[in-house]
Amino acid sequence: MRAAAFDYHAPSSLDEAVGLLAEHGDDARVLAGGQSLVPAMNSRLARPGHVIDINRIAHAERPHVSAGRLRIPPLMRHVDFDTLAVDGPLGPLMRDVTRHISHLPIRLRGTFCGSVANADPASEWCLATTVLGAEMIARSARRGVRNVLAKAFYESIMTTALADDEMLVEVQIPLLSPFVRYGFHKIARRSGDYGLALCLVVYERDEDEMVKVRVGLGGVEAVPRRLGAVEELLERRQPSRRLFREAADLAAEIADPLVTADGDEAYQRDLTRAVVTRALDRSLEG
Amino acid sequence: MSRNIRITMEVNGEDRTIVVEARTTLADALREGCHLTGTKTGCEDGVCGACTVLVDGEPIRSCLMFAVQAHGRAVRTVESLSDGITLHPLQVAFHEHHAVGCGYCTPGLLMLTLGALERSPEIDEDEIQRVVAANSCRCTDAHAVVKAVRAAQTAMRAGRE
Repeated sequence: MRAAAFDYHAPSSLDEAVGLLAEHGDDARVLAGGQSLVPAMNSRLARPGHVIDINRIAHAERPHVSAGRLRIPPLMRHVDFDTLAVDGPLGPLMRDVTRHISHLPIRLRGTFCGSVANADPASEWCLATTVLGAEMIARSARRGVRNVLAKAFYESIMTTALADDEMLVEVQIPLLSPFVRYGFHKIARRSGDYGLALCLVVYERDEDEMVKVRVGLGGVEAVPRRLGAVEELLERRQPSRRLFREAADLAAEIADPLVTADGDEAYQRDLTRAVVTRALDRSLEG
Repeated sequence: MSRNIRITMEVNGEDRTIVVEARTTLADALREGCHLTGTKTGCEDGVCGACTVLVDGEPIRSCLMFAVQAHGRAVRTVESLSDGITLHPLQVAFHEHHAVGCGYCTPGLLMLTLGALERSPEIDEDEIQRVVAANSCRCTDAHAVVKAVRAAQTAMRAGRE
């Protein structure tokens, strides 16, 4: 199929882009990488009357670091995280995560901010921003700029706190301490496919103990979520296979799986157990 | 804003000006507007990769880019690989390593792997496998494709020296 007809806009600045959003509201969609939006349009799941192509906006590709945060602009592509975006553990973490996203042609086009704004439950970046305590910067022509914490940003499946006239213009991620260890794992049917379950674990080592433990689960529930009870179980404990197994069992118990065509609830709890175990195991490697 | 848009893009080294609808994909613009039917469309949903072409040197799915987005950009399709007499080293290698079955996915695989090799000429076999996994082929052995790309990589390296 082909997309329904639309009016095409190619603003050359963010001001112009949010101006167009203010004018057209929920009849407009922002086109960044287009790797999710265009298939949705081609199958007519999405039929915006106006497409605002932001690819001609200059200086929207390179990230920078300020005030202890990695600041990611709207046109930073998945592939741009292959080279370390920032010093410290956050650079390799983002590189490891981005390597799980789809395939080269998709990674060359698809953008970080586009994934975040799209809020697919299986998105690697939605999970990472949740676990890393990112802040989303939303901008509208009328109300200016506001910050939304990741926790409040993802509302439901493919639904975010962004208003119809708002554009996600930046994502800020706090830098990580040099003592951080992390583990990421994704279970998918084929390499490059959507994840059925994803887990990102981040903690600091204090002597032999794990502290400031963060465990996030993606793909299983409607939105990515930190598993507080699992984090508490691991906090101030020494890592061990046995403890990790216990944590994964708890995660499987407290997960609230979406019922999808992909499988029943018991299967999704099994996936949760496996993905959490493997992410925890990974945190001890390297 | 008009729904019919005049765009100019460089296609295989030559400027082409065509009129498209905003919703026209680059794949359709190449096939129907430029009469370059070497680029195939398969799923038209970004999954299969048959429509892969290079835009400003990067391998992309031409079914997931609107033609208007290619305005002012340089596009290369499979037709650019050979002058009709001499084959590109990738084409030679695909032939020699039996990496072509029915051939429908071949233009996409050629442009995908060309783009990958031009971006990173020294990628190793694991990385080539990851690249090739981007495109679907339902009748040829993917290992043959990987072998062909390895052979072409060597030939292209020799060509540069």
